[in-house]
Amino acid sequence: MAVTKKDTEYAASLARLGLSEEEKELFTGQLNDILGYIDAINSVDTKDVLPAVFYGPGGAKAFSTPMREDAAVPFKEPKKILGAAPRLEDNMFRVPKILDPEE
Amino acid sequence: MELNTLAAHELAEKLKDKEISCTELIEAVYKRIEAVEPEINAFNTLTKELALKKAKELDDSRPWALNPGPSLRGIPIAIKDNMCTDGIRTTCSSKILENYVPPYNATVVDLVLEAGMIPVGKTNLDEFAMGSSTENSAYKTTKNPWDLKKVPGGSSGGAAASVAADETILSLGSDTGGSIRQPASFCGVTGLKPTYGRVSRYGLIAFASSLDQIGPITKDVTDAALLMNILAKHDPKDSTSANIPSPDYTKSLVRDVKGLKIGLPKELFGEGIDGNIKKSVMEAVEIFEKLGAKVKEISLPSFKHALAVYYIIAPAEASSNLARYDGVHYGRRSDKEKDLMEMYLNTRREGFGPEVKRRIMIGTYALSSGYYDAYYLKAQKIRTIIKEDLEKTFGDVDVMMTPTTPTAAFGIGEKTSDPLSMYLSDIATIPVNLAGIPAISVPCGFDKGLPVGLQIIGRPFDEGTLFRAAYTFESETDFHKRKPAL
Repeated sequence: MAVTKKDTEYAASLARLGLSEEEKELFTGQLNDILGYIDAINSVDTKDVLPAVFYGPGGAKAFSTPMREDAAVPFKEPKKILGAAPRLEDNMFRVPKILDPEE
Repeated sequence: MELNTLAAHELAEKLKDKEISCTELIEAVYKRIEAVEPEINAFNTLTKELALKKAKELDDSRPWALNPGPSLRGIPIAIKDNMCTDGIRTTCSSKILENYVPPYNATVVDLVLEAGMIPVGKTNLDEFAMGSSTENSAYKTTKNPWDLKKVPGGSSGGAAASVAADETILSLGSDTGGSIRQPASFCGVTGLKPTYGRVSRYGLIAFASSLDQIGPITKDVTDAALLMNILAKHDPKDSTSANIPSPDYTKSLVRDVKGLKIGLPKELFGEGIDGNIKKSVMEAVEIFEKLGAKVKEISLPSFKHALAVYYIIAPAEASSNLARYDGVHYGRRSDKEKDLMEMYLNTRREGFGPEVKRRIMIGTYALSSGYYDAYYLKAQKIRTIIKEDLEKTFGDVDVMMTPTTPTAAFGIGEKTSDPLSMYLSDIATIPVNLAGIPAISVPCGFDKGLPVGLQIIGRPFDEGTLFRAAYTFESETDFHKRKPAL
């Protein structure tokens, strides 16, 4: 199945990735090349095969994720976390407007 | 002999006997860094002041006598720049994390510090560990110490080059599809990808979570075993970390491969593998045979799909993991932020390089509605077939041996315009990550002056046998002792 420029634009919008016109052309071509190579896997018979996500390390079947106890561990220096934010206001992460008041 | 050229286990003896001090050792390492780093470009960040301070503290306390076993206390170590270091910039060689200073340490960094090792700096990589040459770094291309016109491999190119150039004694790398073993092979050093779950991934900036694993890059096999003794530990903060006892890997450092059953997968000795590489690897296999190992050809038909399966699973997981770079909590944010959506689009457009964008695109496409079953689910099923193929083989053989890479180090710029040909350089290492099993690369020869690597693949959690085989080979050869003429 060939990837069109429209498919590229759709995937980019899902990924919240802004692309230039040149990048759209480039990635459309490269996605076709790479997916063309990948399409060979369709010839493999996978009837009755379980996806590998059900196997833990060592090959043992693992149907659940190991959980640790649900206990809160306070982080000692929250300022360090806040300090990494690109925009901070009154100890809160500042984001651009989400809703347009005109609408 | 300059101190920085020695292996950790040799230096450990000298430190213990008080023949040298930690400060002298750290000074020797930085003297070398200052001399060759302008040519090698292995580091994104150097932490000389911190390292000297730590060395002095260790020199002033000096409780070596209390510690009878081999110790890595005072040994310099370089840390790949995708592992979080509290208070030290961690960029992942990406513009999106240009000024990111983590508020915590990765578990491996804590373990290394608790053992008294001294971090010297953060090493360069392909952006978010996506690549095989460091050419995808947003900051610099690391050069191969054996030939400055060649790539050091990747993504742990800075980690491997820094060890090969004697700019550090030990290095931490990470391996998602070959990113420890391929650069170790290209740079003529030792690199181990442990079993998935053997070493904690907490604080390793995620690329493909079901494949990523941290491991050592070192000057010899003994050093790799010593470092693994520190790293292999259950960590409740990583739910995929294996809760099993940590063996003493130094017990596996014995010269004995008598009766060891070695399988040679014919799929990795055929088309696409350079003749000189094949020759070096076969000469290595003959040494094992001479020492009493039993060698046989095996076939793993599912291997031919490994690369395709990898290039669905890894980008799919990456596209999900990299969704967190949204310009809100940390990292770079675009100035063009009229509204939230515009801010997301521009932050990610400006912050990610071409290879990362390409993989986000592949992964997002493969996971999108209507394609999920055809790509991601299909790939996960074939991954099971590859695992089962390997399990069956390990009923018959103890280890497998292959070339680590199809060719020796390629030229800088040679493969950048053709992503698929770059991906093919990982053909021998990728199946190992898909199966979650361990593999080590050790130097086994030279092709026109460039190092060649032998890959030894083992059963899950059987790093011990890999160390035994690799140590035996190393005792019979001197490839690991050769140094580039820098």
